[in-house]
Amino acid sequence: MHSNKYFGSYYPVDSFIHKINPVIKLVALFLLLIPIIGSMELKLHVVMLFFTVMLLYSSKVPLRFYFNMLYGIRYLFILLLFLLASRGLDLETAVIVLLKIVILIEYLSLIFYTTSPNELKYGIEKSLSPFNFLSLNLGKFANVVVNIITFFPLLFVTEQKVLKSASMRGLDYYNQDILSKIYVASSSLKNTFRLTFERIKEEKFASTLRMYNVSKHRTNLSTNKINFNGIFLLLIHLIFVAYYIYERGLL
Amino acid sequence: MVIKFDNVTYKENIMTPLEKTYIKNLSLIINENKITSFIGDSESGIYKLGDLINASSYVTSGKIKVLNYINDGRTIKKVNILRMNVGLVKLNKDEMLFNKTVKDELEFGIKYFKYKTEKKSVRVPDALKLVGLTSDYLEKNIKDLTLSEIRKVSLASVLIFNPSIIIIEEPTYGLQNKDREDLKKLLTMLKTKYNKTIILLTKDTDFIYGLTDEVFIMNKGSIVSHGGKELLENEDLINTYNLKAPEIIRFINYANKKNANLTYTSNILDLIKEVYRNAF
Repeated sequence: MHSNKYFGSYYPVDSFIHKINPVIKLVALFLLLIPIIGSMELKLHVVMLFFTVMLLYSSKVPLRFYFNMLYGIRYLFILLLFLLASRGLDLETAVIVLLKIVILIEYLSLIFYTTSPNELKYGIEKSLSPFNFLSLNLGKFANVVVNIITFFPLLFVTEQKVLKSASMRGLDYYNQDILSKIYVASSSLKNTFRLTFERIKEEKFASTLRMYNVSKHRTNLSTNKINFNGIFLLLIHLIFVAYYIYERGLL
Repeated sequence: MVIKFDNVTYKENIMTPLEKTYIKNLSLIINENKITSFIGDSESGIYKLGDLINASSYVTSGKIKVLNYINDGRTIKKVNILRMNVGLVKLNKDEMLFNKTVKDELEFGIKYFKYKTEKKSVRVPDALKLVGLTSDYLEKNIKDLTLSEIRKVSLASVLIFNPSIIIIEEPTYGLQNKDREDLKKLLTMLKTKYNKTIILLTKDTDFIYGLTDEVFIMNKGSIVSHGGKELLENEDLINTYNLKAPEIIRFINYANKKNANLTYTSNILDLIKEVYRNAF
């Protein structure tokens, strides 16, 4: 069931990262983005990479899931290296750019693997709650964002179910050559998309039944608490930002 | 012998924190032209047996021989012939039905197994009739069906390609009282008239008592007890594995404890006669 993991899917194990408040995770991501976008210091990126790998390890999600993600986009890295070389950038800059991409992808994977869609929805709503005075429907916005993030994992899970049930009734996918696999997968695509959209509609309906409301603490009470680990994680991110500010001489 | 399990172990999510063993060193034989029931709670691993026999999942170790095919974890050649002979009715609708209309769903099997496609127009309404639905359902959208109708369509989508082995997960789940009796008659007819081998994976001991020829009780992926339907008369044994003995058995056992001396029967009318004789 959880053998095949996709970017954006949740991995339900018990780790201290899973228990961190989703708002803290999103704020930490935002803080990490500041040095990633602004800094060109190699040492800082190496430290941030090391720190990210430590977090990946503590998440108890098998590390191969994270590395599979990087392996899946290996051609993108090669293309990027060509682009950087063609623009005449030196090796250090190329390494820094690659490190930025790796940290960002792995950090996003960490958040998606350790935060359930409901927690993520809560996190986005809470993070945006300072904008409540604009009278925007932030709940709907959070719902759309989470639907976009979870769409592809849901699509792949649905595809697996459709392929399995089609295999049981004569349209085998698993014991075929690559061309037949493409034929089977493409012929089941129409049903897969229809079922995925139906599932999203059902989930929206289920959220409504649970009275999803931005101003109430209803679900995930244990994970929505701000605990020591969350504060500690935030402090480390603040140190990265502080170092970046110091390095750029902004103070 | 139609199916043979030889020291079969089945695990999912191997080498991850979510690794789980569903079937442990299982060895058993399922005989043909019989109704065999596997009973056990949700953690017993009974539902994985269907996937393994149908070869929609591969064993982790050991081997399963079904007809002339062997599932030992390696790719099976001409697996479609095996699957055409082993019809699996899943409990979960999402793992069973994926087409838009009932007609598409029923035609899917005969189209891809290439089974009597020229008689499609006859077989489709016949399959529906067999499970107690009319041709009016053909153009209906799957999502507009009730749970009971979904279960019937699932069964019809398998019966349509005439498998020799029929596996049904929780056959009575979602069915109404009359449908239960109809299903009992249908399964008996499939066994006696068409010589089918039927495997029921269920918790519903009331349904299988009086219907089944053999019973396997499973607990945590292993067989803990095996025998005829008399096995269900041992209330203490059934209760040990988080199951409930058939109501009729519980009544007879309770009456016998009060010195009633009733004989075991699966027919309620026979029981009433017996009670009447005892009372007067």
